[in-house]
Amino acid sequence: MTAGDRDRGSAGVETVFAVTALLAVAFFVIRAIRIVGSGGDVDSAARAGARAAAAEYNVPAAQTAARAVIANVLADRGVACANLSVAIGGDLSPGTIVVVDVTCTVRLSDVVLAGFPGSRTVSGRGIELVDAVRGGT
Amino acid sequence: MNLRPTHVDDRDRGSVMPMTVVLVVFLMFAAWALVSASQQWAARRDVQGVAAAAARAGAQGDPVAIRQGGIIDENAAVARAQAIIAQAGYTGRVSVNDRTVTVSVTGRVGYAFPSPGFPSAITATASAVVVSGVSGAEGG
Repeated sequence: MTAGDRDRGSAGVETVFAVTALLAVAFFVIRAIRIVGSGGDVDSAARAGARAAAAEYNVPAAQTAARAVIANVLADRGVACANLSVAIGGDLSPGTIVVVDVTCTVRLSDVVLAGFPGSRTVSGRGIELVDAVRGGT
Repeated sequence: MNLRPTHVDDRDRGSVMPMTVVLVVFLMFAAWALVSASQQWAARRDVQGVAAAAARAGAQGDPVAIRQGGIIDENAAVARAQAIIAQAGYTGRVSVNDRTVTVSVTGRVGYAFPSPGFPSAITATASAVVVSGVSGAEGG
């Protein structure tokens, strides 16, 4: 047996191994960046929702305004969000703090590999002060 | 027909696997750096958002100060801004200079992997200016 006979076929196997490893690393990076990016987008949406909520005078109106703003912000940023949840904390009286918590399930089915979940739940929080001096009702 | 001399095969033997290992290790290092940088960037956005909210909270007309002919009460402005920072779970400093409220917020970065070389905390600064009068639409 010559040296060429002993090496025959090994390059193909190693190429398959290398390509698989490269794909795994690439999918991991894409997933990680998508999750971190989506978390930042949800945080931004929560902050915008908190500003909208702080301009309202009662909790139901604040809930409606915050949800609409958050949905718009997420849509503008291209976040595919399922099961959007918006929770308002605070009574909206002048000078108090309103807290908006947003939870969103981000679909990752396009970058899924065997053994990894196809979605990830991310959350964000927005905090805003209700104006100490405000007019209206 | 194989025209390559045998000694060429001998020189190439075993070269693919080390190259693959080096490539995968390099890619894993690049992935680690990319993920850590992304998390640092996300933390910076969050801290900056809290600083901006705290500055807006501080830069509000104060009822007592307005009755006394002024606009902003420094102690009340600092208390409002600090309340926002504390609610977010961060620490920060608030300063008031005439009508400008400047807030500096520091927050820790939660890395998914050990990240030596990356900052463990991020500081962001924002400021807001109190403006007297009504700038919006009448009755808005």
